[in-house]
Amino acid sequence: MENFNTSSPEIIKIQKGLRLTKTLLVSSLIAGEKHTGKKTLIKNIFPDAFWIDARDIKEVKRALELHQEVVLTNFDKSLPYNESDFFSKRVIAICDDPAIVKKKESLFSFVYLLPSLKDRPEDVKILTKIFINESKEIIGTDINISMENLDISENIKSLKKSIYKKVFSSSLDKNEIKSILYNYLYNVLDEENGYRELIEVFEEPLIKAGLKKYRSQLKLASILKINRNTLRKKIYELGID
Amino acid sequence: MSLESIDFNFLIEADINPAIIFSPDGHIIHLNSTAEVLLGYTSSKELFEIAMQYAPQTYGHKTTTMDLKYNLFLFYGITVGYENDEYIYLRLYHKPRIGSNKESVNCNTTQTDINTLIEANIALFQIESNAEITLLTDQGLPEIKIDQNRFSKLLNKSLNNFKDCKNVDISLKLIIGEYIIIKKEKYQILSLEIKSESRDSTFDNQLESLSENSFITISLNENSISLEIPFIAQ
Repeated sequence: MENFNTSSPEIIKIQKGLRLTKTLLVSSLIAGEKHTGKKTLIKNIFPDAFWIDARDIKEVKRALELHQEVVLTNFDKSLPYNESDFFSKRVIAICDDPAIVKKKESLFSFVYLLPSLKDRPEDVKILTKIFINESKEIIGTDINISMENLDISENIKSLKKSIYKKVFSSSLDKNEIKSILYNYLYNVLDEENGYRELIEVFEEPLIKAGLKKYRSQLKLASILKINRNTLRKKIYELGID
Repeated sequence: MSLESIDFNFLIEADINPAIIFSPDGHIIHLNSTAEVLLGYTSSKELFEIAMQYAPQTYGHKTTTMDLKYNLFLFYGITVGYENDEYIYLRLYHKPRIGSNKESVNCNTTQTDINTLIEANIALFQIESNAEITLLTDQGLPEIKIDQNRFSKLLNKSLNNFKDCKNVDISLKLIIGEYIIIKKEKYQILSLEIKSESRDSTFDNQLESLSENSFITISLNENSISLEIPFIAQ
Protein backbone atom coordinates (compact mmCIF):
# COMPACT_ATOMS: atom_id res chain seq x y z
CA MET A 1 0.00 0.00 0.00
CA GLU A 2 1.34 3.42 -0.96
CA ASN A 3 1.71 5.85 1.93
CA PHE A 4 -0.09 9.15 1.81
CA ASN A 5 1.52 11.54 4.26
CA THR A 6 -0.62 14.45 5.36
CA SER A 7 -1.58 16.52 8.35
CA SER A 8 -3.77 18.93 6.40
CA PRO A 9 -7.19 19.00 8.15
CA GLU A 10 -8.95 19.22 4.80
CA ILE A 11 -7.17 16.20 3.33
CA ILE A 12 -7.80 14.21 6.50
CA LYS A 13 -11.53 14.89 6.07
CA ILE A 14 -11.35 13.77 2.42
CA GLN A 15 -9.48 10.59 3.43
CA LYS A 16 -12.14 9.83 6.01
CA GLY A 17 -14.95 10.33 3.49
CA LEU A 18 -13.26 8.23 0.80
CA ARG A 19 -12.54 5.39 3.23
CA LEU A 20 -16.25 5.22 4.05
CA THR A 21 -17.03 4.62 0.37
CA LYS A 22 -14.74 1.56 0.31
CA THR A 23 -17.65 -0.78 0.92
CA LEU A 24 -20.18 1.17 -1.15
CA LEU A 25 -20.90 0.98 -4.85
CA VAL A 26 -20.85 4.69 -5.57
CA SER A 27 -19.11 6.96 -8.03
CA SER A 28 -16.64 9.53 -6.72
CA LEU A 29 -14.81 12.34 -8.46
CA ILE A 30 -11.48 13.53 -7.10
CA ALA A 31 -10.43 16.84 -8.57
CA GLY A 32 -7.46 19.07 -7.97
CA GLU A 33 -4.49 20.65 -9.71
CA LYS A 34 -1.84 18.35 -11.15
CA HIS A 35 0.58 16.73 -8.66
CA THR A 36 -1.54 17.40 -5.57
CA GLY A 37 -1.45 13.73 -4.55
CA LYS A 38 -4.73 12.47 -6.02
CA LYS A 39 -3.28 9.24 -7.39
CA THR A 40 -1.28 8.44 -4.24
CA LEU A 41 -4.37 9.06 -2.13
CA ILE A 42 -6.44 6.68 -4.26
CA LYS A 43 -3.71 4.01 -4.31
CA ASN A 44 -3.55 4.26 -0.53
CA ILE A 45 -7.30 3.79 -0.03
CA PHE A 46 -8.14 1.54 -2.99
CA PRO A 47 -4.95 -0.53 -3.47
CA ASP A 48 -6.67 -3.23 -5.54
CA ALA A 49 -8.59 -0.99 -7.93
CA PHE A 50 -8.25 -1.40 -11.69
CA TRP A 51 -6.81 1.72 -13.37
CA ILE A 52 -7.72 2.88 -16.86
CA ASP A 53 -7.54 6.04 -18.98
CA ALA A 54 -11.05 7.56 -19.19
CA ARG A 55 -10.41 8.80 -22.73
CA ASP A 56 -10.76 5.25 -24.10
CA ILE A 57 -14.50 4.83 -23.60
CA LYS A 58 -14.64 1.41 -25.25
CA GLU A 59 -11.96 -0.01 -22.95
CA VAL A 60 -13.50 1.70 -19.93
CA LYS A 61 -16.85 0.03 -20.62
CA ARG A 62 -15.08 -3.32 -20.90
CA ALA A 63 -13.22 -2.68 -17.64
CA LEU A 64 -16.47 -1.77 -15.91
CA GLU A 65 -17.95 -5.09 -16.99
CA LEU A 66 -14.97 -7.01 -15.61
CA HIS A 67 -14.11 -5.08 -12.46
CA GLN A 68 -16.15 -3.75 -9.59
CA GLU A 69 -13.63 -1.10 -8.53
CA VAL A 70 -12.27 1.09 -11.29
CA VAL A 71 -10.14 4.24 -11.25
CA LEU A 72 -10.56 6.49 -14.29
CA THR A 73 -7.64 8.78 -15.02
CA ASN A 74 -7.77 11.87 -17.26
CA PHE A 75 -11.48 12.25 -16.66
CA ASP A 76 -11.28 15.97 -17.47
CA LYS A 77 -10.13 15.07 -20.99
CA SER A 78 -12.69 12.33 -21.60
CA LEU A 79 -15.87 12.34 -23.65
CA PRO A 80 -19.18 12.38 -21.77
CA TYR A 81 -20.29 9.31 -19.84
CA ASN A 82 -23.80 8.43 -18.71
CA GLU A 83 -24.94 7.99 -15.14
CA SER A 84 -25.93 4.40 -16.00
CA ASP A 85 -22.34 3.54 -17.02
CA PHE A 86 -21.31 3.66 -13.39
CA PHE A 87 -24.26 1.81 -11.92
CA SER A 88 -23.42 -0.78 -9.29
CA LYS A 89 -19.68 -0.07 -9.51
CA ARG A 90 -17.17 1.68 -7.32
CA VAL A 91 -15.84 4.27 -9.74
CA ILE A 92 -13.21 6.79 -8.75
CA ALA A 93 -12.54 9.38 -11.44
CA ILE A 94 -9.54 11.70 -11.42
CA CYS A 95 -9.82 15.21 -12.78
CA ASP A 96 -6.73 17.47 -13.06
CA ASP A 97 -8.72 20.56 -13.94
CA PRO A 98 -10.80 21.81 -11.00
CA ALA A 99 -12.38 24.43 -13.27
CA ILE A 100 -14.46 21.82 -15.11
CA VAL A 101 -15.76 19.99 -12.06
CA LYS A 102 -19.14 21.74 -12.33
CA LYS A 103 -19.64 20.24 -15.79
CA LYS A 104 -18.85 16.71 -14.67
CA GLU A 105 -20.17 16.57 -11.11
CA SER A 106 -23.75 15.53 -11.96
CA LEU A 107 -22.43 12.04 -12.76
CA PHE A 108 -21.00 11.55 -9.31
CA SER A 109 -22.45 11.12 -5.86
CA PHE A 110 -19.25 12.15 -4.11
CA VAL A 111 -17.09 15.04 -5.31
CA TYR A 112 -13.84 15.83 -3.49
CA LEU A 113 -11.64 18.83 -4.24
CA LEU A 114 -8.01 18.37 -3.23
CA PRO A 115 -6.45 21.71 -2.27
CA SER A 116 -3.16 22.60 -3.93
CA LEU A 117 0.06 22.55 -1.90
CA LYS A 118 0.10 26.32 -1.35
CA ASP A 119 -3.05 25.88 0.76
CA ARG A 120 -1.54 22.98 2.71
CA PRO A 121 1.44 24.42 4.64
CA GLU A 122 1.37 21.43 7.01
CA ASP A 123 1.91 19.09 4.07
CA VAL A 124 4.73 21.22 2.62
CA LYS A 125 6.61 20.68 5.92
CA ILE A 126 5.99 16.93 5.96
CA LEU A 127 6.85 16.42 2.29
CA THR A 128 9.97 18.59 2.53
CA LYS A 129 11.28 16.42 5.37
CA ILE A 130 10.49 13.23 3.44
CA PHE A 131 12.12 14.45 0.22
CA ILE A 132 15.23 15.72 2.03
CA ASN A 133 15.77 12.37 3.74
CA GLU A 134 15.00 10.49 0.53
CA SER A 135 17.38 12.58 -1.60
CA LYS A 136 20.15 12.49 1.05
CA GLU A 137 19.91 8.72 1.12
CA ILE A 138 20.03 8.40 -2.67
CA ILE A 139 22.86 10.91 -3.09
CA GLY A 140 24.68 9.65 -0.01
CA THR A 141 25.18 12.89 1.86
CA ASP A 142 24.40 14.23 5.30
CA ILE A 143 24.82 17.90 4.50
CA ASN A 144 22.39 20.49 5.95
CA ILE A 145 20.58 22.57 3.37
CA SER A 146 18.52 25.72 3.67
CA MET A 147 14.79 25.38 3.11
CA GLU A 148 14.41 28.79 1.48
CA ASN A 149 12.96 29.27 -2.00
CA LEU A 150 11.30 25.88 -2.33
CA ASP A 151 9.26 25.70 -5.49
CA ILE A 152 5.62 24.61 -5.03
CA SER A 153 4.32 26.17 -8.26
CA GLU A 154 3.70 22.67 -9.62
CA ASN A 155 2.76 21.23 -6.24
CA ILE A 156 4.52 18.01 -5.15
CA LYS A 157 6.42 17.60 -8.44
CA SER A 158 8.21 20.96 -8.28
CA LEU A 159 8.75 20.68 -4.51
CA LYS A 160 10.49 17.34 -4.93
CA LYS A 161 12.52 18.60 -7.86
CA SER A 162 13.69 21.71 -6.02
CA ILE A 163 14.70 19.72 -2.93
CA TYR A 164 16.61 17.12 -4.93
CA LYS A 165 18.42 19.88 -6.82
CA LYS A 166 19.33 21.65 -3.57
CA VAL A 167 20.60 18.49 -1.88
CA PHE A 168 22.50 17.44 -4.98
CA SER A 169 24.13 20.81 -5.57
CA SER A 170 25.06 21.20 -1.88
CA SER A 171 26.73 17.82 -1.78
CA LEU A 172 29.10 18.38 -4.72
CA ASP A 173 32.83 18.52 -4.06
CA LYS A 174 35.37 20.64 -5.96
CA ASN A 175 36.14 17.98 -8.55
CA GLU A 176 32.47 17.30 -9.23
CA ILE A 177 31.82 21.02 -9.70
CA LYS A 178 34.79 21.20 -12.03
CA SER A 179 33.46 18.26 -13.96
CA ILE A 180 29.99 19.86 -14.26
CA LEU A 181 31.58 23.13 -15.36
CA TYR A 182 33.69 21.29 -17.87
CA ASN A 183 30.64 19.68 -19.47
CA TYR A 184 28.74 22.94 -19.45
CA LEU A 185 31.58 24.99 -20.96
CA TYR A 186 32.25 22.33 -23.52
CA ASN A 187 28.66 22.61 -24.73
CA VAL A 188 28.30 26.39 -24.77
CA LEU A 189 31.76 27.59 -25.75
CA ASP A 190 31.67 29.23 -29.22
CA GLU A 191 32.34 32.56 -30.97
CA GLU A 192 29.49 34.28 -29.18
CA ASN A 193 30.36 32.87 -25.78
CA GLY A 194 33.97 33.73 -25.16
CA TYR A 195 36.01 34.23 -21.97
CA ARG A 196 34.29 37.50 -20.95
CA GLU A 197 30.81 35.98 -21.33
CA LEU A 198 31.58 32.69 -19.61
CA ILE A 199 33.64 33.92 -16.68
CA GLU A 200 30.42 35.12 -15.04
CA VAL A 201 29.52 31.46 -14.42
CA PHE A 202 32.28 31.55 -11.82
CA GLU A 203 32.23 35.24 -10.81
CA GLU A 204 28.52 35.69 -10.11
CA PRO A 205 28.09 32.86 -7.56
CA LEU A 206 31.42 33.80 -6.00
CA ILE A 207 30.40 37.44 -5.40
CA LYS A 208 26.83 36.56 -4.33
CA ALA A 209 28.06 34.00 -1.83
CA GLY A 210 30.74 36.38 -0.58
CA LEU A 211 28.28 39.23 -0.07
CA LYS A 212 25.89 36.97 1.80
CA LYS A 213 28.69 35.65 3.97
CA TYR A 214 30.55 38.91 4.78
CA ARG A 215 27.68 41.45 4.24
CA SER A 216 30.14 44.18 3.22
CA GLN A 217 31.80 44.95 -0.10
CA LEU A 218 34.87 46.32 1.73
CA LYS A 219 35.32 43.12 3.72
CA LEU A 220 34.69 40.94 0.66
CA ALA A 221 37.22 42.91 -1.43
CA SER A 222 39.83 42.32 1.27
CA ILE A 223 38.99 38.59 1.50
CA LEU A 224 39.13 38.20 -2.30
CA LYS A 225 42.29 40.31 -2.34
CA ILE A 226 40.97 42.61 -5.10
CA ASN A 227 40.48 46.36 -5.24
CA ARG A 228 37.08 47.45 -3.88
CA ASN A 229 36.47 49.53 -7.03
CA THR A 230 37.05 46.43 -9.13
CA LEU A 231 34.52 44.56 -6.94
CA ARG A 232 31.99 47.39 -7.21
CA LYS A 233 32.42 47.37 -11.01
CA LYS A 234 31.91 43.59 -11.16
CA ILE A 235 28.76 43.86 -8.99
CA TYR A 236 27.40 46.53 -11.34
CA GLU A 237 28.24 44.55 -14.52
CA LEU A 238 26.69 41.36 -13.19
CA GLY A 239 23.55 43.18 -12.02
CA ILE A 240 23.84 41.89 -8.45
CA ASP A 241 21.59 43.68 -5.91
CA MET B 1 -80.40 -4.96 -1.24
CA SER B 2 -81.44 -2.39 1.34
CA LEU B 3 -79.25 0.51 2.32
CA GLU B 4 -79.25 -0.75 5.93
CA SER B 5 -77.33 -3.85 4.83
CA ILE B 6 -74.40 -1.74 3.56
CA ASP B 7 -71.57 -1.28 6.05
CA PHE B 8 -70.82 2.44 5.68
CA ASN B 9 -68.41 2.22 8.59
CA PHE B 10 -66.26 -0.14 6.57
CA LEU B 11 -66.23 2.29 3.62
CA ILE B 12 -65.04 5.12 5.83
CA GLU B 13 -62.43 2.89 7.45
CA ALA B 14 -61.08 1.75 4.06
CA ASP B 15 -60.98 5.29 2.63
CA ILE B 16 -57.50 6.58 1.92
CA ASN B 17 -58.70 10.12 2.75
CA PRO B 18 -58.63 10.95 6.45
CA ALA B 19 -62.04 11.25 8.11
CA ILE B 20 -62.60 12.39 11.70
CA ILE B 21 -65.73 12.90 13.76
CA PHE B 22 -65.37 15.41 16.61
CA SER B 23 -67.60 16.12 19.62
CA PRO B 24 -68.64 19.81 19.99
CA ASP B 25 -65.77 20.33 22.49
CA GLY B 26 -63.14 18.97 20.07
CA HIS B 27 -62.75 15.42 21.34
CA ILE B 28 -62.40 12.75 18.71
CA ILE B 29 -65.40 10.43 18.63
CA HIS B 30 -64.27 8.39 15.65
CA LEU B 31 -61.49 8.40 13.05
CA ASN B 32 -60.41 6.12 10.25
CA SER B 33 -56.94 4.56 9.98
CA THR B 34 -55.60 7.20 7.55
CA ALA B 35 -56.61 9.90 10.01
CA GLU B 36 -54.73 8.01 12.73
CA VAL B 37 -51.54 8.25 10.66
CA LEU B 38 -52.21 11.92 9.90
CA LEU B 39 -52.43 12.61 13.64
CA GLY B 40 -48.79 11.55 13.84
CA TYR B 41 -47.97 14.78 12.01
CA THR B 42 -50.52 17.27 13.35
CA SER B 43 -52.70 17.67 16.40
CA SER B 44 -56.40 16.94 16.76
CA LYS B 45 -56.73 20.51 18.10
CA GLU B 46 -55.46 21.99 14.84
CA LEU B 47 -57.77 19.81 12.75
CA PHE B 48 -60.73 20.67 14.97
CA GLU B 49 -59.98 24.37 14.57
CA ILE B 50 -59.95 23.97 10.79
CA ALA B 51 -63.25 22.12 10.98
CA MET B 52 -64.79 24.93 13.05
CA GLN B 53 -63.44 27.61 10.76
CA TYR B 54 -64.80 26.03 7.57
CA ALA B 55 -68.02 24.54 8.94
CA PRO B 56 -71.28 25.47 7.14
CA GLN B 57 -73.36 28.18 8.81
CA THR B 58 -76.24 25.82 9.31
CA TYR B 59 -76.82 22.04 9.34
CA GLY B 60 -75.42 20.31 6.28
CA HIS B 61 -71.97 20.08 4.81
CA LYS B 62 -69.57 22.38 3.02
CA THR B 63 -66.58 21.57 0.82
CA THR B 64 -63.77 24.06 0.61
CA THR B 65 -60.79 23.91 -1.73
CA MET B 66 -57.56 24.74 0.05
CA ASP B 67 -53.96 23.56 0.18
CA LEU B 68 -52.97 21.86 3.40
CA LYS B 69 -49.62 20.24 4.12
CA TYR B 70 -48.68 18.04 7.05
CA ASN B 71 -45.25 16.56 6.45
CA LEU B 72 -45.74 14.29 3.40
CA PHE B 73 -49.52 14.61 3.46
CA LEU B 74 -50.78 17.09 0.90
CA PHE B 75 -54.48 17.92 0.68
CA TYR B 76 -56.37 19.97 -1.87
CA GLY B 77 -59.64 20.38 0.03
CA ILE B 78 -61.85 19.50 2.98
CA THR B 79 -65.48 18.77 3.70
CA VAL B 80 -66.95 19.76 7.05
CA GLY B 81 -70.48 18.76 8.02
CA TYR B 82 -72.90 18.35 10.91
CA GLU B 83 -76.52 17.20 11.12
CA ASN B 84 -77.06 17.94 14.81
CA ASP B 85 -75.22 19.49 17.73
CA GLU B 86 -73.72 16.18 18.84
CA TYR B 87 -70.86 15.88 16.37
CA ILE B 88 -69.05 17.53 13.47
CA TYR B 89 -67.10 15.64 10.86
CA LEU B 90 -64.06 16.56 8.82
CA ARG B 91 -62.83 14.86 5.72
CA LEU B 92 -59.59 15.84 3.96
CA TYR B 93 -58.91 15.08 0.30
CA HIS B 94 -55.47 13.91 -0.79
CA LYS B 95 -53.83 15.85 -3.57
CA PRO B 96 -53.24 13.48 -6.48
CA ARG B 97 -49.57 12.71 -7.04
CA ILE B 98 -48.20 12.76 -10.53
CA GLY B 99 -47.29 9.25 -11.60
CA SER B 100 -43.78 8.71 -12.85
CA ASN B 101 -42.17 6.13 -15.07
CA LYS B 102 -39.99 4.81 -12.32
CA GLU B 103 -38.10 1.65 -13.04
CA SER B 104 -38.70 -1.54 -11.15
CA VAL B 105 -37.77 -1.34 -7.50
CA ASN B 106 -34.93 -3.80 -7.98
CA CYS B 107 -33.44 -1.96 -10.94
CA ASN B 108 -30.29 -0.02 -10.01
CA THR B 109 -30.53 -1.01 -6.38
CA THR B 110 -27.87 -2.80 -4.39
CA GLN B 111 -27.82 -4.32 -0.94
CA THR B 112 -26.62 -1.51 1.30
CA ASP B 113 -25.69 -0.74 4.86
CA ILE B 114 -27.71 2.47 5.05
CA ASN B 115 -25.75 3.68 8.08
CA THR B 116 -22.42 3.51 6.21
CA LEU B 117 -23.96 5.32 3.26
CA ILE B 118 -25.25 8.08 5.55
CA GLU B 119 -21.86 8.32 7.32
CA ALA B 120 -20.07 8.71 3.96
CA ASN B 121 -22.43 11.53 2.99
CA ILE B 122 -21.98 13.23 6.36
CA ALA B 123 -18.19 13.00 5.95
CA LEU B 124 -18.48 14.71 2.55
CA PHE B 125 -20.73 17.40 4.03
CA GLN B 126 -18.26 18.05 6.86
CA ILE B 127 -15.50 18.94 4.39
CA GLU B 128 -17.30 22.18 3.62
CA SER B 129 -19.38 22.74 6.71
CA ASN B 130 -18.45 23.34 10.32
CA ALA B 131 -21.89 22.38 11.57
CA GLU B 132 -22.00 20.20 14.66
CA ILE B 133 -23.82 17.04 13.65
CA THR B 134 -25.90 14.82 15.86
CA LEU B 135 -26.81 11.50 14.29
CA LEU B 136 -29.48 9.36 15.86
CA THR B 137 -29.82 6.01 14.17
CA ASP B 138 -30.28 2.31 14.76
CA GLN B 139 -26.98 0.60 14.04
CA GLY B 140 -28.76 -2.73 14.04
CA LEU B 141 -30.80 -1.98 10.93
CA PRO B 142 -30.48 -4.75 8.37
CA GLU B 143 -29.14 -3.99 4.91
CA ILE B 144 -31.66 -2.58 2.46
CA LYS B 145 -31.85 -2.37 -1.31
CA ILE B 146 -31.24 1.14 -2.51
CA ASP B 147 -29.76 2.99 -5.49
CA GLN B 148 -26.67 4.21 -3.64
CA ASN B 149 -25.70 6.84 -6.20
CA ARG B 150 -29.10 8.48 -6.48
CA PHE B 151 -29.72 8.35 -2.76
CA SER B 152 -26.31 9.93 -2.12
CA LYS B 153 -26.95 12.73 -4.61
CA LEU B 154 -30.27 13.44 -2.92
CA LEU B 155 -28.77 13.29 0.57
CA ASN B 156 -25.75 15.44 -0.42
CA LYS B 157 -27.96 18.14 -1.82
CA SER B 158 -30.29 17.92 1.18
CA LEU B 159 -27.41 18.28 3.62
CA ASN B 160 -26.06 21.24 1.67
CA ASN B 161 -29.25 23.10 2.63
CA PHE B 162 -27.79 23.22 6.15
CA LYS B 163 -24.19 24.08 5.26
CA ASP B 164 -24.13 27.33 7.22
CA CYS B 165 -26.00 26.07 10.28
CA LYS B 166 -24.38 25.67 13.69
CA ASN B 167 -26.04 22.39 14.60
CA VAL B 168 -27.67 19.79 12.41
CA ASP B 169 -29.71 16.90 13.83
CA ILE B 170 -30.06 13.83 11.66
CA SER B 171 -32.27 10.95 12.64
CA LEU B 172 -33.03 7.68 10.91
CA LYS B 173 -35.91 5.58 12.12
CA LEU B 174 -38.23 2.88 10.94
CA ILE B 175 -41.81 4.13 10.92
CA ILE B 176 -44.22 1.76 12.57
CA GLY B 177 -47.65 1.32 11.05
CA GLU B 178 -47.05 3.14 7.77
CA TYR B 179 -46.27 1.53 4.47
CA ILE B 180 -45.45 2.46 0.93
CA ILE B 181 -46.79 0.42 -1.97
CA ILE B 182 -44.49 0.07 -4.97
CA LYS B 183 -45.50 -2.09 -7.91
CA LYS B 184 -48.16 -3.77 -5.75
CA GLU B 185 -45.57 -4.66 -3.07
CA LYS B 186 -45.99 -3.24 0.42
CA TYR B 187 -42.85 -1.94 2.17
CA GLN B 188 -42.19 -0.41 5.55
CA ILE B 189 -40.76 3.12 5.55
CA LEU B 190 -37.41 4.38 6.84
CA SER B 191 -37.61 8.03 7.69
CA LEU B 192 -34.48 10.17 7.53
CA GLU B 193 -34.93 13.63 8.97
CA ILE B 194 -32.41 16.46 8.76
CA LYS B 195 -33.25 19.36 11.03
CA SER B 196 -31.67 22.62 12.08
CA GLU B 197 -32.42 26.21 13.06
CA SER B 198 -32.85 27.25 9.41
CA ARG B 199 -32.62 25.89 5.88
CA ASP B 200 -31.44 27.26 2.56
CA SER B 201 -34.26 26.49 0.13
CA THR B 202 -32.53 27.78 -3.03
CA PHE B 203 -32.18 24.33 -4.56
CA ASP B 204 -35.59 22.89 -3.69
CA ASN B 205 -36.44 22.30 -7.35
CA GLN B 206 -33.31 20.20 -7.82
CA LEU B 207 -34.13 18.20 -4.71
CA GLU B 208 -37.66 17.55 -5.91
CA SER B 209 -36.45 16.42 -9.30
CA LEU B 210 -33.82 14.10 -7.74
CA SER B 211 -36.48 12.55 -5.54
CA GLU B 212 -38.83 12.09 -8.52
CA ASN B 213 -36.25 9.81 -10.08
CA SER B 214 -36.18 7.51 -7.10
CA PHE B 215 -38.65 5.81 -4.81
CA ILE B 216 -37.75 8.24 -2.08
CA THR B 217 -40.33 10.81 -1.08
CA ILE B 218 -38.98 14.17 0.00
CA SER B 219 -40.70 16.63 2.25
CA LEU B 220 -39.23 20.13 2.31
CA ASN B 221 -40.14 22.05 5.42
CA GLU B 222 -39.05 25.41 6.81
CA ASN B 223 -36.26 24.08 9.02
CA SER B 224 -36.11 20.45 8.05
CA ILE B 225 -36.07 17.92 5.24
CA SER B 226 -37.56 14.44 5.49
CA LEU B 227 -36.73 11.59 3.21
CA GLU B 228 -39.02 8.60 3.27
CA ILE B 229 -37.15 5.56 2.01
CA PRO B 230 -38.86 2.26 1.21
CA PHE B 231 -37.45 -0.46 3.47
CA ILE B 232 -36.70 -3.10 0.87
CA ALA B 233 -34.79 -5.77 2.71
CA GLN B 234 -34.56 -8.45 0.01
